[in-house]
Amino acid sequence: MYRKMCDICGKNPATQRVINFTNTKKEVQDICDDCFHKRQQGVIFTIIKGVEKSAEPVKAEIPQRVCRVCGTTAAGFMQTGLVGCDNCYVDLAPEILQMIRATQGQIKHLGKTPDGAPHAESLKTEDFPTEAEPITETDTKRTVGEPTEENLALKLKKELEAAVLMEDYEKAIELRDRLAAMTEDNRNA
Amino acid sequence: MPKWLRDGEFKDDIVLSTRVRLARNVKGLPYPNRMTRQSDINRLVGIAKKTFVEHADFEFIDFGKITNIQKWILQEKYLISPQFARRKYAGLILSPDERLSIMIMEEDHFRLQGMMPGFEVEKTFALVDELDNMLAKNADYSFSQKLGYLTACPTNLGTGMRVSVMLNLPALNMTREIGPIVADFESRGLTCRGAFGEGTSPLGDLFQISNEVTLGFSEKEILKAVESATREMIDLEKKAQRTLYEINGRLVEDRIFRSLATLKNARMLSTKEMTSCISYVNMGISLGLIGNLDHERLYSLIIDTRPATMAEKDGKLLPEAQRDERRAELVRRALT
Ligand SMILES: [Zn+2]
Ligand SMILES: [Zn+2]
Repeated sequence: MYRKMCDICGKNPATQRVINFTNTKKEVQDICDDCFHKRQQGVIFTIIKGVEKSAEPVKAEIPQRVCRVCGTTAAGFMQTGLVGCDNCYVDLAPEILQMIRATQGQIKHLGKTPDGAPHAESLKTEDFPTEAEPITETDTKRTVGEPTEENLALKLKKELEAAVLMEDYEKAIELRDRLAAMTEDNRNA
Repeated sequence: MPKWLRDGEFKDDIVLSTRVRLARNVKGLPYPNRMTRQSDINRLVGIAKKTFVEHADFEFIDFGKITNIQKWILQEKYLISPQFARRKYAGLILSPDERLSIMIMEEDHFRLQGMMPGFEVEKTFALVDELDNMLAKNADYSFSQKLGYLTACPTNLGTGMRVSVMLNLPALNMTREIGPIVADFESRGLTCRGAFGEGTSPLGDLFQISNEVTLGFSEKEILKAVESATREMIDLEKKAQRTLYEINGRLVEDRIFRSLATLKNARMLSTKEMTSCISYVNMGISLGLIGNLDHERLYSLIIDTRPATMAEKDGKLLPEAQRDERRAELVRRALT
């Protein structure tokens, strides 16, 4: 498999895509962990993305993780992009981490915090994996595969029930159609 | 004219409005996509009402009680998102001047919004920040030191803040220069999209610049990034306008004055044609070719002539064919 080397040192494999911009220029670099930590200073806005390593995604099994509090599954999250409750951030952390790495800046909150005493953290800092976790090969391999079809149907059915309950009929119709399409696919396969 | 657009200060001829949205959730409750208990929804509505209706002079609009047209009007005024317009429960909290609003049970428990006419990034943020402080007194937020405010979609984590500036970019759009600029913005953690209808193909020359990244930066850094990108875009548009005018003055003048004549005289006007004419007239103001036409009046036409807002005025929703006629009439009346 093709593996890109660091744009700065050329010695280590690249693990991060860094896009820096200042007011006058922007630069895109795929760099290794060492170089990443060395050049964090003096940058206004940085976006870190995973480096694409493989041209062809390989079908692999989606982990069967599920949130113990609200029942959102890893597969469900990967399809909708939505989590169902605070605890999802603990139970589905690997999938969420992957999404954060693809879309956000560093995994570190630098903004406002709720003032006043009553606000205890609803998620303990150590509950979420650190940003230092390197991108592994399985990260890029993970795509929607067959073994999860059943889970997905179950999840859609649950969502459909909820949508009907909430009188969100437009969503209900959409879910019903998706379920119907899935059954159709299975028959054709 | 939508209330939030009144008394706007337009420092340039490019920016129409500034919007800041904050996503907030209450600890321990499932997010809206997983919420099934009416009592949970009632609790959220209760928190918002206590904060803004009892202790401030805001109004609560119950989405279980108002009509679809009324929801549609709120959407046309940019007070709620299209998804929220389909909700049949919970509701919206609205300030008297309609510059501030809180959607209850959108994608997150609360979406706090500030909307101001013109290019007012700092001021708009200050208003929403204050709303957030008020709500935090009664709501125990979902929060983590590492991830910031927890949200239903991880793309909103951290600050939970989305800053959007709506601009009119006729020259950049006409010369097709907009494409590469948009690509460049995207590589910088920002997006620039057609603003009309959110997500559909751009109508006219209205674009929206907003931040894509919400985690890993402070509110101040994000505000600054959107602000400087907007400033850059204003300069590029002005430069493109001047270049166009220098190269082909007659053609540009013709287009601008034809547009003005269309707005003042047409008997049938589609939204598309109207929006495009408004943007050329705006360019005429910017180039100093047209005087004494204020932006407030021009911009408000974009909202006042949308189907549901017209229906409010007329007492009924007109069939599509008649809407163009009615729109032309409203525009004519506003400009003469
Ligand atoms: Zn290196
Ligand atoms: Zn959960």
